[in-house]
Amino acid sequence: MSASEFRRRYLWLMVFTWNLPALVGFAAIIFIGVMTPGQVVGILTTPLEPAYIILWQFIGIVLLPRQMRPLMDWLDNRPGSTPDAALRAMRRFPLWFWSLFLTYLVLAAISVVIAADIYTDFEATPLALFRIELVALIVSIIVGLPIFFLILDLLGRAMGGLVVRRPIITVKTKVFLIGALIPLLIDTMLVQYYWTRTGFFTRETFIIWLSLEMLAIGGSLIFVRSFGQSLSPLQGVIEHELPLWKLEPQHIRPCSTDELGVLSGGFRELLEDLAVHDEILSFNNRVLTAAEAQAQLPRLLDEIVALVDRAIGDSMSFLILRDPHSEELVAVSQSGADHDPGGHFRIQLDEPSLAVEAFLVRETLAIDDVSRDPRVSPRLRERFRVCSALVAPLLMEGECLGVLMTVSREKPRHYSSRHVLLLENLAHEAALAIHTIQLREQHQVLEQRQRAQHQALLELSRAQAAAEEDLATALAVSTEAVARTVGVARASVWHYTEEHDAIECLDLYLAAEDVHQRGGLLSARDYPDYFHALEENRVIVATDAHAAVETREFSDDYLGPLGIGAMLHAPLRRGTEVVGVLCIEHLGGQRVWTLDEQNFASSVADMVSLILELWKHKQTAEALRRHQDHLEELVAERTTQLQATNEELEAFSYSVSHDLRAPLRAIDGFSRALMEDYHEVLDSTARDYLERVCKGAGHMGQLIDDLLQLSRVSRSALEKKQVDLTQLAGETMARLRETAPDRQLSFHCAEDLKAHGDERLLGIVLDNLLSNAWKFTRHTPDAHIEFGVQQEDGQQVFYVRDNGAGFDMAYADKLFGAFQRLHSTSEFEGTGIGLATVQRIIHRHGGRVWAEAGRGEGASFYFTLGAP
Amino acid sequence: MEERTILLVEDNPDDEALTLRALSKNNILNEVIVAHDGVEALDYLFGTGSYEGRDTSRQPELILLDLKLPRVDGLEVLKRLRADERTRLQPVVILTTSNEERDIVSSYELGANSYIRKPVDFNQFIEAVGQLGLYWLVINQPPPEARGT
Repeated sequence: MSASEFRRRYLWLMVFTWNLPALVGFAAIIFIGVMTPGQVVGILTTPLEPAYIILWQFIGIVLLPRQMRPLMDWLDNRPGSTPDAALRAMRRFPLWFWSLFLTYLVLAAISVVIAADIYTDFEATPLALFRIELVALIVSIIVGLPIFFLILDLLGRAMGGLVVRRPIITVKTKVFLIGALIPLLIDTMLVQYYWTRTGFFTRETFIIWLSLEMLAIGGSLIFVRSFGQSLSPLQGVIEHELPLWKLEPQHIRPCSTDELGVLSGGFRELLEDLAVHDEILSFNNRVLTAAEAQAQLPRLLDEIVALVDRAIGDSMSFLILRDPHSEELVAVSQSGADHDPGGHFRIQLDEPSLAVEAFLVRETLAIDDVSRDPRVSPRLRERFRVCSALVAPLLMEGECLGVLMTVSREKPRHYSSRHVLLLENLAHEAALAIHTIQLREQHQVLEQRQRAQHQALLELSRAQAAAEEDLATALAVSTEAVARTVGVARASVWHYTEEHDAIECLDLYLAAEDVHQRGGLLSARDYPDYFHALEENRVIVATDAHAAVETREFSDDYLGPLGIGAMLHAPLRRGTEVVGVLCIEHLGGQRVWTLDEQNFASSVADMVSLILELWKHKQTAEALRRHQDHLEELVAERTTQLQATNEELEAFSYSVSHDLRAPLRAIDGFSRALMEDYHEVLDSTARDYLERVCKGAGHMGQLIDDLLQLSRVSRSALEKKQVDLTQLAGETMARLRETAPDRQLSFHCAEDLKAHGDERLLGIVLDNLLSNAWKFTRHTPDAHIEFGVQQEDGQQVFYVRDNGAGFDMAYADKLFGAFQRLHSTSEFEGTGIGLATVQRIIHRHGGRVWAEAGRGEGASFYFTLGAP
Repeated sequence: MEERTILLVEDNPDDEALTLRALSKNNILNEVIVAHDGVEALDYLFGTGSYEGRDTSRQPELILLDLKLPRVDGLEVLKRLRADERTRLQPVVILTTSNEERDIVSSYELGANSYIRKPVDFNQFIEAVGQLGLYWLVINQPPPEARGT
């Protein structure tokens, strides 16, 4: 509601307040006959009465709205306005209103009497004054109260946005004023009317009127009191001035059986439930934050039982859990007793019992009268004298952990749906607490195990680093870590033998004696199933090693004697190949290997595989290094030998060139000296002999030179570069022509023949080949020599072709051997070393040399040079 | 005509005889002093040993030096010869059987003036000796101090 609308309505109500009572008052005066209409008109035409009315109207309309200024400011959202000031103004309003209003009316009666006495024929008597005052009073209430309530309603609507902590006008007041007072006053007016009309106003009638009036007032007071009693719970709510949810149930006590009583009762229950839920919540909180989960559980369960006692208000409650190790329900907590993990009592799951029934059907059971219910155990009735019982299952993730039960002893009672709901809630909480704590415990165990595994893997990685140095220690660390982490008596590492038909124990750790052993062989022939499974490259999980397909063949000669009950095998791998196995053995009975443990075993196996691999790698590297060292020694030795040989060879060649030639020279020289100096003495035969001696010495000199050249081309280092073969051939040819300038011979050389090789050696090649051609065309009339190149398979093939004597291809294979000649010395001189030298040079260049010829058809010599 | 001596350093008596014959065949009639090994050659050149007191200011016109010599070899003789002030500029012709490249290179490196390989064929040998005699003793202008008195 806006301030202007409020102002408008308020002013209208003010106008009514000051005018309506006057109108009704005059009407009542005329009606009961105190004055005649003429007298009333007379009064109203006098200056006194209208002035009086206008004055009061002015006071009322100006003064009272001013009182409401804070409220209007607040409605206008003016700065500085507060809801508290508005409320204060409103609280002051009834006092202002009624004091002004009553003063107005009491004085109004006097003003009417005075005005009537002065300006009309009305005779002012005390009785008349009393009667007019009475009229004024009654009118003020009959007319003033409705207007007052209209104003209050207006204020109520205007203040609707504010939270009012205590009432401004109580309901009781409203009921009293409107419900009791107004009928009473109307009745009084009627009596006055009859009195005036009948003139029957005596002491007797007055006493009777007064008694009846008293009775009416007494009745209305009784009515108001009864109504007040209905309202008293609300009064309680208001008295404490607390937020509604903070009220205690005892603050609300329903004192009536009417709707208000019902509502108050409901509210009280709501508060009680709220209190229980509050406790449930805080309980829940404690469960979630409980530090020492396992240690806290009994206390928490006891708390649940106490909470049930309070919430349901029964004589006794029980928390009954299922024993996971036996087919029994165990009452671990009970009202008025300390937690007993062994159970205050135990119930077999096949016994007739309410707890068992609820546990099995997983539903809440509420039984008001247990005496006739066959599901209830006689013990419950006899030992605890139970009359009524309520039991709810503890359900968690589709599993029933136990039941929560509350019973009423000695006297039967009814369990409402609210009780059922509460107990179910509490059962849910209990289940949650147990489950949460179990989860936390599991989590802790898991965490510890993971930490242990992590630690173990860390140790292993350290072992790995050391593996290169010391395999035995690395493996010992591994097996110890496994045995300790998984908690088994035996852990071992096995490796395939060289033949791959058995596994050999590299390290076995016996936890009990804290010793390591090694050796021991398991043959694939003896345990085919196991080896078959091992080759499948997977973890072998044998919960019962005697029964598992993979390991039962060990039963008699391995598992039995050693007392092994369960086994876990993880393959050691190199790439995808299985090279061994990590074996974890549990002494005693069966053992379930958790997925966690399997994964751990697998991880460790991988690390051990790596250890083995590293070690092997190191071994190989060492062997390789030793081998290399040896090789280097060998090479050095050979090189030294070779150098020595080379040096020897060189020394030999040197000696040959020197010492072999000197005697030849002596032979030749002195033979010639003989021929010259003793020419006359010697006959022709002697001279011929001496000639032959000289020739022989010359040939031998040539032989020695050629041999030296052959040995030299083998020894000297190649100095490869681009060589102009055309030029080399030309120079050689020119040299040859000089030896016999008269010879007619055509030489054709392809232009710009280039090759990559040693210039000096290629010179020797061309020299030999061209010399040969030169030599073997000596007897050919139209001699022709050609040097060129042709392409064969993308390779350059050089050739020297002549049309000379040629040779028989049958002997072509002998051509390139040293001292091999296809012609007699008398026919063509030569040492038979030239082509051997050519072949050696070409081979040293990585090329090939061959010849094609026919007897008397000339010869072609081809050669290639290897890649540059 | 001044006496122009030739020093022939040759250990092989056959070669010595053949060389002398070749020289005479070519009408080279200069006095030839023969040293049979390196030590003897050096003694002669520096007036030591068996040649103690020889006038070393008179040095041979031409030294024909074999490389393969007993005691001190030809290259060593050449080295010492070139190191001494008296024989530093003396013409030295290596006359040897070897045609090993390294011998040729070493000789020239040590200051040989010429390198001649003795041919097996005696006719060629005579020709070669004739040419070197003609060249070194007639055509070639020797260094001033070697002219002697």
